[in-house]
Amino acid sequence: MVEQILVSVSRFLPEVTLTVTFCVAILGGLIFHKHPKTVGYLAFIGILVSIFCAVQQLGVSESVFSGMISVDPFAVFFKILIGSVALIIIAFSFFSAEVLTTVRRMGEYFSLLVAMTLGMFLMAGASNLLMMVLALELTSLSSYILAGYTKEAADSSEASLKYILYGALSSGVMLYGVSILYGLTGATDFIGVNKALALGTTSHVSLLVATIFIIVGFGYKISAVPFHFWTPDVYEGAPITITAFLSVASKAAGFAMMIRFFKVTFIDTHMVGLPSGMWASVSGFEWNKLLAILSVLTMTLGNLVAVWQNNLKRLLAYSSIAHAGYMLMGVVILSDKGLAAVLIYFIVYLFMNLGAFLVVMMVANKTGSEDIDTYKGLGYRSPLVGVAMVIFFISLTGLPPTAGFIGKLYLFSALLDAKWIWLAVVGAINSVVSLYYYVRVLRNMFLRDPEGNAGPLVFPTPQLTLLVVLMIPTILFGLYFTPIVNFANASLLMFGIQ
Amino acid sequence: MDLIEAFFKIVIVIGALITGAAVMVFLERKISAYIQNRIGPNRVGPRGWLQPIVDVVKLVMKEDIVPKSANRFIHDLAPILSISIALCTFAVIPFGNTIELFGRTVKLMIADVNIGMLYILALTSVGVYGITLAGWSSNSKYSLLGGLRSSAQLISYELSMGLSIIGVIMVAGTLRLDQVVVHQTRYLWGWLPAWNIFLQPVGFITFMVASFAETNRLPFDLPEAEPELVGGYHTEYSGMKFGLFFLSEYANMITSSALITTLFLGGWSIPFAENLALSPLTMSLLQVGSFVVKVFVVLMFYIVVRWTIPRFRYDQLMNLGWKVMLPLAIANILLTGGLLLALN
Amino acid sequence: MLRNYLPIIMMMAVAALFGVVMGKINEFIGPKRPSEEKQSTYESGMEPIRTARERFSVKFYMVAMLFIVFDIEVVFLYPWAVSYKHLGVAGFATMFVFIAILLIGYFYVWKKGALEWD
Repeated sequence: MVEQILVSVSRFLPEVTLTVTFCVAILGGLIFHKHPKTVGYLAFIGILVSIFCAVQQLGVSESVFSGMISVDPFAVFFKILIGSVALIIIAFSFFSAEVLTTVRRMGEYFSLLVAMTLGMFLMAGASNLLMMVLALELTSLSSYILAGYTKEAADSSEASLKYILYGALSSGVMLYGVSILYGLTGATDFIGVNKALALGTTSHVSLLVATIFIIVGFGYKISAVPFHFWTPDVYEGAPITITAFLSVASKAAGFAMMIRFFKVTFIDTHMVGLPSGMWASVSGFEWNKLLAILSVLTMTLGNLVAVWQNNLKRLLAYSSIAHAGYMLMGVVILSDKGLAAVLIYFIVYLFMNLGAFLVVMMVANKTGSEDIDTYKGLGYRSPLVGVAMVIFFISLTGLPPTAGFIGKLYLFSALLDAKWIWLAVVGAINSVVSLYYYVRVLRNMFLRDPEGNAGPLVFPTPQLTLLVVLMIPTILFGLYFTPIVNFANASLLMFGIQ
Repeated sequence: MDLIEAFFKIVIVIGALITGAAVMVFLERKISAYIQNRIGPNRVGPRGWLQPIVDVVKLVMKEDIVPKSANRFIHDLAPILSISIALCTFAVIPFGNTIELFGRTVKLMIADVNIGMLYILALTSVGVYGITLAGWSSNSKYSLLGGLRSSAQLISYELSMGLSIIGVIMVAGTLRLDQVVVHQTRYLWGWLPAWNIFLQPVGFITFMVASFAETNRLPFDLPEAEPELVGGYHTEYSGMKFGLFFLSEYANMITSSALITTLFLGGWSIPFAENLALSPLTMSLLQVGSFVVKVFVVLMFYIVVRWTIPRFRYDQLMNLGWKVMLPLAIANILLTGGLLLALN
Repeated sequence: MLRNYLPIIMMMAVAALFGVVMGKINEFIGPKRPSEEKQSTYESGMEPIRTARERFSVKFYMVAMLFIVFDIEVVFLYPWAVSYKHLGVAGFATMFVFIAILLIGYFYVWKKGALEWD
């Protein structure tokens, strides 16, 4: 028993590192209250170490703590992804005017960031219904507080409150679904549930109800329509660093958890005669049709509403809803190719979305506004930032020669391979719509004159360096994408499936 | 048959608790009088010994006044809850070993359950409700303040109370109170009775202090604080409903003294009595007697403390609970754990 | 097994019966002469101002929240304490880590001033 736990702990090092970092950061906030940035450095180092530990686990595939958590390439992929986002966000925070004004609470800010990262690591590996709920709660509770971090600002408190209300409701519904699923199958670990479902004796109606309830929880986390209502308000009200973190890391963790849940729980392992790389769902229950509807709704609504937005944070919020819709398309295919496309998309999405948020943050630091009019003439006031924004937005639209194109390319080719023609068409039309609102910002930057007495904007060198660091991969992966494709293909293996 | 036996034990215990509480009220008045150089009640019966009966009769004959703005149902419920909980706690406390009566071996505790200590802690937690509900339902500012203060105080000290019992459990390795007592009948080095007061001195002190706070006794009687709060949570109570609060306070006192006796002072055990070769019946009766004497000594300590130590300020009270008692209790657990490891 | 709990139920019933009888006895024996003055809330002889059920200090909520955190710790400690002698060094180490994490929280709460009443 003890030996088993000790072995599990040795496979649990990334999470242990984060836990220790959290404790150290919280105490550091008390000790170094005169130099709050120290806590940020501590958190940075801790997350760096935990990514290192995660990298050590590449190639491992096993289950720890009696089936609570899986350590497998799929989880490690998301741990590395989420950890990297957390590192970039901490770097963002050092530049963010919003965060820097609240010196007294900065220790809590960084420790909660670490706690949130820990929750997402757990989400990436959760292979038990209870662990899933717990990890989701840990992530959500930390993010509620962080969303309301600048509590002097009314919209930040509003964001936090709305987030809590939606979060509490949807995780409550999800928990209800989990309890129904447990009642139906008598198991809480995914593999046990799968074995019980494979017998084919469960009532389809109850299974459908349970799954829909559970999807509510996932949908809330990845902000899929119709569970997206919190997204625009929270993204607008929260400090921009947190918005960026939520839009990439939180979404990635939600997808990781959802994909593992659906794939491991509802796979039909006895199905024969499928083309290689395809899977089948347990008989009579086609959950991917549900997700397909969700996907269409999500991207269409996200893109259409984004057209009307004048606040850049809100615009990016709707755009991120739309991107969740694109990525859902990869999940519905039920093939390794589709899954790989989602993973590729996430790597790409990390760079382009964080880059776009960095530009918004830098401009907001200087001008104090996120309005689209602020961007008039930005291309001339600060050419480097202007060009960077063009690259990120082109990439978000999915046009060559940027990385965004590669992400979309793999998604659509996987869709066409699996004969989901209509979904591919909807996705393509949506991309065209998205071009309109991205270009609206670019037009303001280059084709409109700046308002009033706007001189050139000068940004500090560290911020520009970070911008370039995010910009280079966005272009590079558009031209040379073999490494990320290989990485994604190597990360498909999940514990419990052959 | 078992149930009839249990019923008799219940009636005896509840009767003893209520009588004991009445006697305690009288003794408290008498002792406080002597401490303050007064005579105290001396009119009814010889030296005033019938005073408690007269008190009860007076309370019963009073009018039941409920303020119009109060919540009638909860106002009625609160004292009933208080007294029921106070009486029920005694169910798992062994007041003697076993006794041979009419050919049956009777165990001298009401319910022989294996979660005795958890039961006591659970009931202590529920006990908070009586006072809180009384404070809230009266819709009076004094009552509300008293109720709030008391719930904050009770839950704060419940932590230290729960934590200080842990040390005893670690030593005894059981949650059954009779086993705890049996565990204390051993001897250390052949001459010192292995009472937990010697094995767990820190635990004893924290538990004692927490018991004072849990029973709302001076120096922890802020919920009542007559000068500031006019009685606190029972400002708006009259007649026997008020009497029930009064009674439950004293019943709680007796129960917690019994608990201290059981957990730390060897319960019913009489050191070295097994060498005297007494008949089993005499031995059983003597053990019950020893339990009663020990409880009585602790009760006297309660009373003396009340009339010698002044009341805390509220911030001092909370500071003591959270910043002194809690770390002490946790340190005690770690210390006990370390020592047990070192000894085994 | 559950039979052992029957006496507790009985005791609760007897105690509740005693409580109800004593709590209600005044309604039957005592006089009933209600008046406006008598039934108003006591407020040192003044006319009562507003209701008593208003907002009160946030500190009470803090105490309640902290209590829940630490009370759960206590509950976890009970089963551990019962079987402590069989757990050995591993048991001690595990609980040491658990308590240490809680103490970090405790220290944090203290330093942040949540335990101050002034």
